[in-house]
Amino acid sequence: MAFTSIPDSIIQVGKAITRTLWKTYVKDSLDDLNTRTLGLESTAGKIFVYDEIVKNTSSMSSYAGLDIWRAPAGFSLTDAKIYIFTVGALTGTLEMDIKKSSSPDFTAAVSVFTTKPSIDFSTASDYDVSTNAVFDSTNKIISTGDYLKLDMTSMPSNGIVGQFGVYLIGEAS
Amino acid sequence: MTTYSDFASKTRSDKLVLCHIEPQQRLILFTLDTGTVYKRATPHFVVGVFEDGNALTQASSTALNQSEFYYDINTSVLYIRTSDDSDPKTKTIVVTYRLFYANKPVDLPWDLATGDEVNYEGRLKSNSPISKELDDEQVGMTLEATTSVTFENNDGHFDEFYDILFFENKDIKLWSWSDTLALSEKQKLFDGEIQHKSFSDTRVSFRCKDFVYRLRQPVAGENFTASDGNIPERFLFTPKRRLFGQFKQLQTVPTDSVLDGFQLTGTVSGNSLTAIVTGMGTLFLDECSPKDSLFYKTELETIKLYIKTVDSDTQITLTEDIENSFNGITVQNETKRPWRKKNRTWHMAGHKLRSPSTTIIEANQENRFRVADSSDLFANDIIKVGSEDVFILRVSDDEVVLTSNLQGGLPLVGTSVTKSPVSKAYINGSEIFINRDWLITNTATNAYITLDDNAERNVAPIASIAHNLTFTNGSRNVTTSTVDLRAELEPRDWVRSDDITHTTWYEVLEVNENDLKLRVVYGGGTTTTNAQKKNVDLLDDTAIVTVDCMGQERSGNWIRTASDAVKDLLENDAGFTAINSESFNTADGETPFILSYAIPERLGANRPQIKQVINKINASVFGSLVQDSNFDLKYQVLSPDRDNTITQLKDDDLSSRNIRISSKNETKRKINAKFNPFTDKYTGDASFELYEFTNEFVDNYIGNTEELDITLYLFKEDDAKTIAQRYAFYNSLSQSVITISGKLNLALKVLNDKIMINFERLYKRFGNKDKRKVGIVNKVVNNGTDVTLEINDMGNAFNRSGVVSNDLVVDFASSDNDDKLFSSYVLDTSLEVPDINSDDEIFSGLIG
Repeated sequence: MAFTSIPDSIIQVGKAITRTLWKTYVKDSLDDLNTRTLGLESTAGKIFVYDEIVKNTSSMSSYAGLDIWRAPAGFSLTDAKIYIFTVGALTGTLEMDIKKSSSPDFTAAVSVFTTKPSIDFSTASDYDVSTNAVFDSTNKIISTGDYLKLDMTSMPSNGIVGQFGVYLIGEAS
Repeated sequence: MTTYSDFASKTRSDKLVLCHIEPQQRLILFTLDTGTVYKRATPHFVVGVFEDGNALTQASSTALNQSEFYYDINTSVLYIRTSDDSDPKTKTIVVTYRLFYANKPVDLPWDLATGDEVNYEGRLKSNSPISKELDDEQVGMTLEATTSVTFENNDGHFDEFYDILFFENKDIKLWSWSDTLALSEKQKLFDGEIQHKSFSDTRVSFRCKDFVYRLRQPVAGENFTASDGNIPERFLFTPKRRLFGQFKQLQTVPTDSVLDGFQLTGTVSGNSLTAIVTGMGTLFLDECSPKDSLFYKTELETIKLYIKTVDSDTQITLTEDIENSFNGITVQNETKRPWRKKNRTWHMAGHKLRSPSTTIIEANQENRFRVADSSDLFANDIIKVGSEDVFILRVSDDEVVLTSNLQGGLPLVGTSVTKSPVSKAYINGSEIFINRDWLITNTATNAYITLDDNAERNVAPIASIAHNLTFTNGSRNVTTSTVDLRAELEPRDWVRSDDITHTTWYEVLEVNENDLKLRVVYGGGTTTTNAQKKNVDLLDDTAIVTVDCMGQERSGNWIRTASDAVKDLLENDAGFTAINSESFNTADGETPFILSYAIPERLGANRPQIKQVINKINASVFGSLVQDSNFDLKYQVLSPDRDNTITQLKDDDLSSRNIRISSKNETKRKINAKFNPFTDKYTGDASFELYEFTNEFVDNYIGNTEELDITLYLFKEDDAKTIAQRYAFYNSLSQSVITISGKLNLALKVLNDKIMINFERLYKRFGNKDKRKVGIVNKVVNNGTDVTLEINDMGNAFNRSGVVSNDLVVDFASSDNDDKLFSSYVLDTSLEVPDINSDDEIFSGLIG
């Protein structure tokens, strides 16, 4: 299976439309192109919105608007995680939300999640990574110029979570 | 002479017609032979025995196991051993005889194969011509074939058993043969059942039909009954849905409707002249609301109790005093607004929906992996990978790409992948989501979608109440002084405070001007904030719940294509076993289009005839159901392929030069194709998508202004476009039916056979100017000695449509007429001919 250009000589007017034309020059070439396309899209084209460590000294129970990010191109969100390093004596839940808006005014913003990524410190272990995020199938589609706002909708209590990781990526559809 | 074809081509030959008739008789009295084996002499040859309707197995000697029989051909004695070794007279024993006849006496094996020889009595006088015909040319199914078979009775042969044996609906078969041929070369003329019989002192006749008449019976299936749950009257005792293919917005049937009302948990008591109802084990706060009406029935009347307030789980205050005391009774609730815990279960189909499973064979990324079998996986499907439900973005060969990464990380090789039979669901038009809002129950006999109690709340939009409300920890009361809450909320709506640290929603029990009551106490800290609300659209018995779902799975296979569906109906509804499976497999490959056909099409409608369903499916793909030369049912989809192996008919194949040709003009300028039936998810109205195709050829050259409306039960738009354009192509020129009479060798032709016609006196064909043309057989009439064929040239469709040519075919300029008939060539872009110096081939080589 390889890509082979169709020779002009076999598609001249009056040439029989043969199986060779379809098999060798059309099917095999398309199969080859598809294999290479799959290889390309699996290694390239990831869009990283957040892959950051948040250093925190605040005892706030939530934090709306930790960051705002503007989309340079359209894509779909494919993964969201938060992760922690140490549990210590902390209790409560670390939870993040991503709100989407077509402008920096987030009054009418919508969440990209139906289930927000979170970690429950009462059951968590050191270095835990959230596994519960579920995207809203409509809101996860990001258009060029959309704004994404990172909200920490819940921070753990009984102390301060000194640092945690935020991860949000997407791919072109 | 070694083959039937050789024999049939002889104008004078010794043609034999052989006949088997298989009447039945009930036998009661047997005598004990040895042990548990019983016996009796029979007047006719026995080929089958039924015990209480179950067939016994034929053994090869008198040493019988349970549920076996043996017929001794030399002594005409039948031996049987019943299923429980009891005396046959305690059972209903019915035997099937085989009577052997021919148009002259001959000794042949009883099974016309290798069995012992019996005498075929030469009583067969005649059989009427047997006609095989499509009821709608190339789109439909073979018409029922009939024949009348007459036997000599001068010696009173039939007097003994004409009325004694059961002939009605019993099998009869006819073969054409010659004693110059091997018996294996016999040709079946007819295979059917006896419908009517007539008797005279000289003759006995049987009027017979083939098995196609069985397709008149209704499609099999179960009806909804009370045992399925609380079913609204409009659906009760109507058929459960049977689904072929795949569906968009299929309407479902509620099976836990409220109907008159639902019974409250626990029992209630109340004293006369008070307005208090007291509960025992009751859940009033959940199940009741103000303005609901409770009722119970006495022997004489129905007593109604109108709720003013719900005070606790065990106390209700009524709007009026109770007239007659009651104690420890159950009551029904007829709610003012629907209760969110009723109408949760919705029935999709009376069978299992397709839910294929496969495994991961290679994982590349958290949203990319290869699977062992991706054949039934499509974009937008929901699949469960391990324990995680995710959506498919696309499938490329065996590689599956998800819309989002698996939260569990890179999947392991061997992880199971199972497709959900439902990919989308809607309640009154709003999309609801798997796991959060709904789950599937998918068994061999029923498929349901079960809604979460909070589904309506989950999909309701959030609205602000821009006024301060005071929520108090541990209290069900919420108060305000700045807004009339009756304009904002109703009982069973939801409300929450703006407290970001306590985002729980609370269901509203009671609403007054400046306060409201929650059904449970507020769990957050006491706060006075603005609030948010959800005004919910609760499901009642008339709600519209639709699903995007897969169709039937039987024995692990998806009933996906026209070929699959027709075969399923033949085998499981009509009980056919004589099926040419290879033809169905071929049709499956040639037309893999996914159906979208629900039986019945409208919920609550009657179950249609099998024949009606098959006709609609056939019309959706240009399919036809015919009988092959062995009278096995054969499925074919019209396709343009042809090669030089197809039969060529020349003048010397005809018994008469009388070739009749009649043409009919059924050209259409526009095809209006309805496809992909669905239910409007808001109104519940039945609808279709529409594809319109205008045939420029007819517009430009024929001038016909007629349009053709067709309904295609196909799921995908691309497939519907293909079929609609084939209808346009098929209806772009007049079709000619060529009727010829020939020798018995034409009897080897069956409906839908492609034939090349090459007669001296035939007009030249459109698109080439050669006389040869390819047509298709749509009628065969055979009386055992002469055969008449009708061949439809399909408006020269075969000559005009493109095919992939043999690699050995040379350029058009060097091709002979055979090559030009069976091949296609690259056309000049502007002139649309394969030879720019000739316009003889214009309109050939089109895509069919």
